[in-house]
Order: sequence, then structure tokens, then C-alpha cells
Amino acid sequence: MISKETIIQELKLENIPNEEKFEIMDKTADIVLDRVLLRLMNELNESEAMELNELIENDKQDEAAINLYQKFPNLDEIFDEEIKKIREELVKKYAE
Amino acid sequence: MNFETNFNETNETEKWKNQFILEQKLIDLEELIKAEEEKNEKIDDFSHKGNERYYELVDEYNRLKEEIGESQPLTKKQKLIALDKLINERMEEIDREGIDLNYDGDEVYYGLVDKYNKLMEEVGAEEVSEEIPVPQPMVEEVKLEESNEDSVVVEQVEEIKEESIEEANTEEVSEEIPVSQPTVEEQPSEINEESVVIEQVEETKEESTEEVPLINPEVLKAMEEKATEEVKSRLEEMHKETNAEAAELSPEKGSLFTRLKESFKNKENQKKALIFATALAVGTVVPYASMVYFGGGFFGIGAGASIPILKMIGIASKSAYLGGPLGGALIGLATKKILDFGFTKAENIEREMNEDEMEILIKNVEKTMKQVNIEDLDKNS
Repeated sequence: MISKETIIQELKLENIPNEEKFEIMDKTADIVLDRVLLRLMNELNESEAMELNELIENDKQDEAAINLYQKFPNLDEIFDEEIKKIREELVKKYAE
Repeated sequence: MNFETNFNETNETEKWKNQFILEQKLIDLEELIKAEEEKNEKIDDFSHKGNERYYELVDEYNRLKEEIGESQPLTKKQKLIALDKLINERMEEIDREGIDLNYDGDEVYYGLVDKYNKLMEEVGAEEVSEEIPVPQPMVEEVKLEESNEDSVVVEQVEEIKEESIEEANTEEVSEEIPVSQPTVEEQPSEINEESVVIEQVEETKEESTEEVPLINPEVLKAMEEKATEEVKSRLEEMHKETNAEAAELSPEKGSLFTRLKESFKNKENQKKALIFATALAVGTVVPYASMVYFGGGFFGIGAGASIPILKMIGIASKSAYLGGPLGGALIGLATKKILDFGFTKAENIEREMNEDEMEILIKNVEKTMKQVNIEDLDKNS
């Protein structure tokens, strides 16, 4: 789903300074990432987490990526869902 | 949308673009003429005699005026569409010519983007003012949807006119309109509808003017500031909540969480991509971000070779950062298509792309960037 409006427009904050817009988008993006990662962590078991940690420690990020995408082939959807949730939450609270 | 509609819209856009260029030239010429006039005034030569440059400019101005003819000046929205087209064309030129785009390096591109953003702000501000609620006027059943006083009055004229005609026909004189009463009683066939209407319009106009609440820009600004602070504060709360959840993870998972998060955040471009994805709800940008974060190996794109794509993200993102949503949306769509390509390659070969494959990928990106347009947004929304 592509929104024609940015979250800033949905929050009706188009007229605030660009630095403020950026700060809001930046913070929102941080939270999206945190929430996605938390979801992944909660679904991984301890040994999978350990394995991934080892790969990253040994500078095998490519393998870690393959591992992670194999475990979560729906990673895009997870991102989509979290993005959608946070937008809805903010817009519902502050723009309606 | 059928082909004919599409074709007509393209023609319209092209027409607006051309008219926009002419209008801009006229504005530039006006300034140059004014400058020449001021120069002449300084030497007390109001006749401009001997100032060939002045006459050249005036001739050019008149020629352009003639070229524009009797076309209506473009509306702001038409100008936005024209500017969008010019920006896209410039981007194509930049790609084609391999122009190194940086903020000081391409005045044309950034000049257009600045104009686009300024105009967007103006349009945005006008839309806000249109949303100012107008109180119900004296005439019942008239619903005011716009703050535009004239259109309100026109609507009311129509209703009052209808009412007056109806009243005259049924010879039922409303006591609420004392002006028309004697006229109707004595000479019902000669009722002067117009004068009644005009009088009521005057009254309505006066009342409308008195009752329209004008929001002080300072108040509006304060409201926006308050809303911004509230949003930021809520985001801060959310951040604390996720931190608290993360703190409850096992040491192994906590460590992985931190590593993934920090690695992601340390790379400027994927953070940028996530910001766009979040801003526009374009989740498809994210795998691309992840791809770069993980070194690109999984999708077969080496770090060096991914630079042209990052550069393109930089180009499109500039306007998105500055307030134009289109650039961000475009990159979202473009990235999806790039990813479709990237996924296929990765699944089939699972090795780094060679130069030829990389060239195909880059061409695909360029092609996609050119193909994406507003119609695509409609299809995907």
C-alpha cells in the first residue's frame, strides 16, 4: 500500500519547519525498526539468536541476512504492518 | 483510464508545462525591463532612447505575450503539475548526461524543486484556510462548504431567488421579508424579484463578513506547534515502551537486537529509506534498505556497485525531504521494481552480480524511474 499522503500530511503538520518534520519522521522510523526487531526477537529461539550473533561477530553479515530472510520470508510484510500500525495510531490520536 | 484519456492528460500536462515556461520567462523579462527602467531613471532618461537592451527586452516580452495569447493563467495546481514534469525531465537529463548532482551543482534541478516546494506550501496554506468552518448564515438550509465569500453569496442568491419566485407565484407573502410585502400585495405580477434578492444578498454578505472567523496565523502556528510537541512526546513514549520491551529480552536476543539496530542505524542511506517507507507507508523500500545494511551480498549487489542506486535515492529523496511527497512515492515504486529484479537474480544465482548484470540492473532502475508517474500512484493506492 502506498499512501499518497506522507505521515506529516496526515497529521496535518505540513506547515511546520522541515527540521521538525524530519525529526518526527526520524523518530517514527526508529520506533518502526525497534518494533520490527522486537517481533523478530520474540519469534526466534535462543539457539537461532545465538547463531545469528555468531555470524555477525564473525563478520558474516551476508550469511546472517540469508538466515534471517529464510526464517522470516515475510519480513517486508512485518515492516508494512508496523509502519501501518504506527501511522494509524498517531493519525487517530492527533489528526482526527 | 483508457488510452484516449491518458493521451489527453499527457497533452494537457505538456501544454501546462510549456505555458509555465513562458510565464516564467515573462516574469524574468519583467524584472529585467524594470531593472533597465531604473537604470534609465538614474540618468534621467525616461525616454529609454539609446537603450537598445531595453527595447530588445520589451520586444521579447511582447512576443512572448502574443505567444501565450489569450490562454488563462495557470492555476497553482496546474503549475505544480507542470513543475513536476519539468523536474522529472531534468532528472532524466541528469541520468542521461551523467551530471553529478549535488546541491550546489545543479541549479536547474534545485531551482525547480525549490519552486515546487514553495508552491506546495502555498497550496497547502490555501487548503488550510478553505477548511475554516463558516457559521450558518441567516438563510436556513444553506449549507456553506467554502469560506469563499463570493461563492457563498452566489449560492444564497440562487436559493433566495428560487424562494422569492415561489412566494410570488403562490402570492404568499412572507412577513419575514417586509420590503417585498407591499409590492407583492399591490402589484403581485410586477414583483421586483431582483431588488428583494439584492437586498437580501447585501444583508447576507454583511453577516457573512461579520461572522467568518479569521484564524490568526499566530494562533494557527501555535496550534501546530502544540500538535507537533504532542506527537513528539507520544513518539518519545513509544520509544520508551519499546526500550522497556527490549530490556526484557534474554541476553542473547538483547545482544542481537542491539547489533541489528545499531548496524541499521549507522548506515545513512538505509535509515533514509526507512524514513521514507515510514513517511509514505511504502514498506517495499525496506527490503532494499535491509539489503544494503547486510552488505548487499544476499541480493548479489556488491557494495561499490550499489552506489549509483544510492545516488538515485539521493536524487529522489531530496524533494521528499523538502516536503514534496511525489519524490518519495516515486522511489518507493521504483524500489519495488528494482527489488523484483534483485530478488529474481538472487534466487537464481546466489552470487555477486557481474558487471553486465549490474549494468542491466542500473538500466532497469533508470527505466523504472522514468516510467513511474502519477497514474502508477493511483493504481497502487
